Amino acid sequence: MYNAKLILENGAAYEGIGYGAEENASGELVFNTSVTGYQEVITDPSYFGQIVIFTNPHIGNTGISNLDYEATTILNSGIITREVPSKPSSWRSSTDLQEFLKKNNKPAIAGLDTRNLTNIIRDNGSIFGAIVPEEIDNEVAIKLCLETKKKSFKYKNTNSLKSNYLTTNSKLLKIVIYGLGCKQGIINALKEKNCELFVLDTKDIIKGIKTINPDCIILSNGPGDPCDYKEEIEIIKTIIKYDIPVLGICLGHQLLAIAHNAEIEKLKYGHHGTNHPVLDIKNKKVFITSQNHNYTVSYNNIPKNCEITHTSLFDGTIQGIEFKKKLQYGFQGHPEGSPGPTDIDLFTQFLKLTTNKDQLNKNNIVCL
Amino acid sequence: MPINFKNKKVFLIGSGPIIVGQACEFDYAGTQACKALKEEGCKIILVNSNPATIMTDITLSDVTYIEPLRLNILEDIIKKERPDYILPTLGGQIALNKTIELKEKGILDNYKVKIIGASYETIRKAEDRFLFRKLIDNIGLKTPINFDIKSIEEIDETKNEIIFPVIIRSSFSLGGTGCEYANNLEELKHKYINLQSKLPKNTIQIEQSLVGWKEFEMEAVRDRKGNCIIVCCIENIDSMGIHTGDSITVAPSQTLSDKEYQKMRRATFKVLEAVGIETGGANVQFAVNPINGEMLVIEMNPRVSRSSALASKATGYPIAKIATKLALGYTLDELTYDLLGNCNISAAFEPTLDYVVTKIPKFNIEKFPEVSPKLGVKMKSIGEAMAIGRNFQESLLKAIESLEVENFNIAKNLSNEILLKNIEENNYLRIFYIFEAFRRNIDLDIITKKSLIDFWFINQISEIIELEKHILATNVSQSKLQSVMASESLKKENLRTRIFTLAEEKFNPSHFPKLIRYAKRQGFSDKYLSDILNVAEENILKYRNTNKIKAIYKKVDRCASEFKTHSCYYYSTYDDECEAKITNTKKVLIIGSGPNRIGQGIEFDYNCVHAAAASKERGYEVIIANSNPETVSTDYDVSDKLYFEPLTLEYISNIIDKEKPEKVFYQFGGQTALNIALSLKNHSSFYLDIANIELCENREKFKNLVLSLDLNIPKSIVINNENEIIKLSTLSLCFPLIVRPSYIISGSKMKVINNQNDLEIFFKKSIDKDIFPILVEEFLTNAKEIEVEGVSDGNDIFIAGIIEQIEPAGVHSGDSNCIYPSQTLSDELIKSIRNTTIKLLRKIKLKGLFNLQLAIKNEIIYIIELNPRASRAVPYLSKILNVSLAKVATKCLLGIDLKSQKINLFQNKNYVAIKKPVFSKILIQNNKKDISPEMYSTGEVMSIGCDFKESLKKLEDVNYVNIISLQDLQKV
Repeated sequence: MYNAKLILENGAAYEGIGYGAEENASGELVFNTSVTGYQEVITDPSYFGQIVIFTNPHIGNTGISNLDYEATTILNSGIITREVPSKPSSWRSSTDLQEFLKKNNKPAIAGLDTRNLTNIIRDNGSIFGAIVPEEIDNEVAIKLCLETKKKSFKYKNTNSLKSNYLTTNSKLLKIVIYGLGCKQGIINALKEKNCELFVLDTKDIIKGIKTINPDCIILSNGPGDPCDYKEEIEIIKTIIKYDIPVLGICLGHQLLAIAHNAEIEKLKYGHHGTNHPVLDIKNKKVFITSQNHNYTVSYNNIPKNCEITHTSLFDGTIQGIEFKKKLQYGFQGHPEGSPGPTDIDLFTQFLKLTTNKDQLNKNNIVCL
Repeated sequence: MPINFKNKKVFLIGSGPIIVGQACEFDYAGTQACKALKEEGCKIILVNSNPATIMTDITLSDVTYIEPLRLNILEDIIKKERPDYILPTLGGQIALNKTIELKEKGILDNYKVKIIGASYETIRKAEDRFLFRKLIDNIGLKTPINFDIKSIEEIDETKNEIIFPVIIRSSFSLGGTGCEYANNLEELKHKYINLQSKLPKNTIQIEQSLVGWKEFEMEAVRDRKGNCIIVCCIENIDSMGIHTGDSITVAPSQTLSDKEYQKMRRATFKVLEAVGIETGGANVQFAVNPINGEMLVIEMNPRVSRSSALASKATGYPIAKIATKLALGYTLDELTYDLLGNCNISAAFEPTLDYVVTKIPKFNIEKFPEVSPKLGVKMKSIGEAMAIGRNFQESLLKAIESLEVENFNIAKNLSNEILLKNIEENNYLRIFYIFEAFRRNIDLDIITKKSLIDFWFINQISEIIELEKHILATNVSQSKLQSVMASESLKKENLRTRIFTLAEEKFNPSHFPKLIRYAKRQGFSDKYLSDILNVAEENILKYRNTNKIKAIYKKVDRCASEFKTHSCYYYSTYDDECEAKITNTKKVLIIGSGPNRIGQGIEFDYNCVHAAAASKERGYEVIIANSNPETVSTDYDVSDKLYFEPLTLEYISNIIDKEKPEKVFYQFGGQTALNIALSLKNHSSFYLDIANIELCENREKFKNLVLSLDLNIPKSIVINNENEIIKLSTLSLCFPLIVRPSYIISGSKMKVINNQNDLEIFFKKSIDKDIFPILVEEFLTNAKEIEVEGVSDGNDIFIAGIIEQIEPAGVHSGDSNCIYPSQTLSDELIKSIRNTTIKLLRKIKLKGLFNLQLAIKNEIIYIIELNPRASRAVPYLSKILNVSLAKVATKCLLGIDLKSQKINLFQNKNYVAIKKPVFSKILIQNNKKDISPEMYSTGEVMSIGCDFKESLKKLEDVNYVNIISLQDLQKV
């Protein structure tokens, strides 16, 4: 441990205890209110390049497990906790959080009033900050913040595309995931359904779809402002013209909406927790969902063919959409949890619709 | 939307007297239920035998019965009132059991009463162990392995199913007798033969031993559409084997990864669905094997429980209220709920915490030498305290502080061996023993092994003691330290000490203030620090003020500040930003009564709630400070602001400093609040007029005052310190004697002494500097004891009632049967009692409630003691008189004299009410205790009859029925 400080872009400085790697880190400050699942959060591509504040004071209690990665490395640029992680206690743990941070060359800072920081972000909107060792000059840290602010953070999933597009087992459902920062949780949830998955990036997606001819396409989650994804939106505009069912998750949901000419707006208070109730309007069912987003599909100028399927019971914002006669769906939350509840079994529902669409040659699908 | 409940009659059964395992959490639940039903326009028919409850206030229900909870009485109420529905899930196990009985006897069907909240089948499924186990198996979850063994051969046949160690017991074992562990097959066979030879007629059972498994409770609510949320996950620090009620517990859970937590969450929903919880609150208890994460379902409560009350206070989610609304047919998406400060939020929102809550049980085992101090599967604690901190250590230390324990260092004189034995045997004080073990550098692994507490918690506890040692080892000599602590400004160079870091000590030399700040951040109270550093507590305070180490307040807002709320539910911590919103309106601070204990329980919370209501009526902002999560006073709609804090000088004076209330009400929270007031006297920023209180509390001063008024007091002598004990040898008092220490609760340490020898033993045994001055007085044998309850405004005195005790003087009033109105006193004597009361009160000029205890022998009135505060009898009397004495007193305290209050005292002479003490079976087996000035009962029941005989008969004769409601009392 070492003396560290958090410097915000506006010059505010906070002294704390540094742990993990003794490195400089800068990024947009965001918070997460989930009590469990810190490992999933720090490896979640949606948080790529950000500094995450954990509102739960004790982080690291259960160490790091080989089974809980969302990506293989830490994707946050740094983390802020109230307490320094103490030695973990869990049979699932293979290493502890402090070690894991060191290995990934990421710094963390503890001993700050994390609730105060949460209030600041919540009330003032996006703020960039830097975690630096004590001896670094504040001005240097501020410069670091401002430089980072200019960057745009997009995440590219490693292509799972191999040279051979032909699948070995034609009985399995084939799913293409447009990987914009896809969480391992989504992949795991789909794997459970006995599917064959292909994660493709922007470069290969169109070609891949044509070659694979998947049963459905999933637009993954990912970091940042959806409006920064100009190229991807154009690609999705192409995708939605195919007669293939599409499901967008989180960022994917927003991009799907934009591709259909819906508007996006920034939320005053983003949703960053695993406790958000969402109402399924048709069935009047409530689902607790895991959420992490600052943007939402706007109620203004909703395309005619777009039906709102889910809304937030907290602030009424749009949480789910459906494009009529298209088998195209978007969901703002994370049905895969990771961390968080998996109350809403959206993947099963979606795959059911997909298979029902074409029952003739898919009768013996085992996945459902 | 629900069906229309307007004007429908709903029958609510309360949980009866306070006993171990069933405390005031059900008053909290019942009160919320009443309010929720009222909002929907229901007509409420309520029965509860416990008069000290808010739920039995006449204003909360349409018909209120304070009657014994017997089947024939319940049937009669149903017959008379003809309710449409019965809601059984909010009155604890009693209400559930009674509902089952009513159903099985055909009474509910007979009178066409529908059960809402949980169906009969659901209750059966959850309560019947066999049915429950089968259900759980069917949904793919596991319960502990358990089967009957009929022969030794059967052990061999089933040996592959047995997971060692196992518990072997006879099926009808009482209190854990005949219950043994077997670690392998051989041992099992051996013990089986042994047990069978002893109890040949009994079935012998083998159960998987879960000792050392982690224990969790999931608090959930579910609506009729199957929507389900988890309100809170509570983790037990004490592993399986110690009853949850006796365990130290934390929320949220600390040692579950997200994958494990989600698995438990899904399992909870599955269990609720399988058992058929259609609407309302329920909890499911899980055991988790720390070695491989194996998860077992232990049990479920298909009702609001003690832990729901805890979960409600820990999160701000009003489970009882929402459960009631769900029972009426609402769904979660249709409901919002309120938190202090008008901030509605969807009832479907799962609370998330950015703090740690610790619940700690309060025991009174020291009063019962015959009760084993070892904890086990049967609950023994009588109350609980909850504390909120920004980390676990702070939360735990604040919880311990909330127990109002005078001495933390109880284990000092024990050998290592006994210390570890006490830890291993689950002694009820074991948290203190664990602290002591760390102090003695006993290895963490050994302590973990003995305590079977999860490493994460044990490690945290060890860090507390490491910090303690570090403070001790600051290389500062005591004299220097004392001068530093006392001096106003600190020269930083004087104390070059390293800031405390636990993993490495890489920190550069820093300063003592930083260390103290760190200690405060970890929850060290000023008192704790003053003990470690051996300086006066007020010097710690001074030092903190000089160095600006001040408590700040954070909100409990259900969402970890993800959204802006106006919550006014606070806890203190040491951080940067203070969130307490201080208004300029006139306000009062009401000090609550803390954890339930014998002699200070629900009655005092009752008074606090009424004081809050009266202050609100007068336009004051009401601030409540309390540490007891089971209470109504800590509910979201009782105060304007709630500070959930330990009730000690430090925490209360911090609140006073922050809020600067116009008044501090210390008369309602029992002796705890009064004692704080007495120590607040030295608190510079706040003036509290307590001279009169001191006059009553100090035995010697009081005695002199009584004598100066020409009133009688038993012959006595006051012993002020150890040296004065010698006075006793020359004393002219006649045996038997009674010894009364000062500033005490429930007559603890009070004794009747029959001869010189016993007297010497008493002093030898219980020498404790805090109990002086002690009054040693002649014991009036076979005298009548009378209690006078009333309110004084400083000039006028309102005598609300003269209560007669059936038992002779010398029995603690809390353990006596009380009668109102008095039955055997002549008019003349009553007049004379009134005059005595007035004379005494005129002299002392108390403001607020008073309770005067008198003994009468040979028509002479002796003054025993005057309590300048609310007493146990206030709710009882208020119910009979239909006057809230606490409200009258509050108004006096706010400057409205008795005359202008124009109290309309309507005394219906046609009824006699008896208040009967109730003892907890686990503490006192035969429900009887020898005559003693020390109190042992945990609760009380009341019955109302047309005369004394009838009232008594109702209590004692199981077949007797003649129901009278509080509303009936109002009819002439």
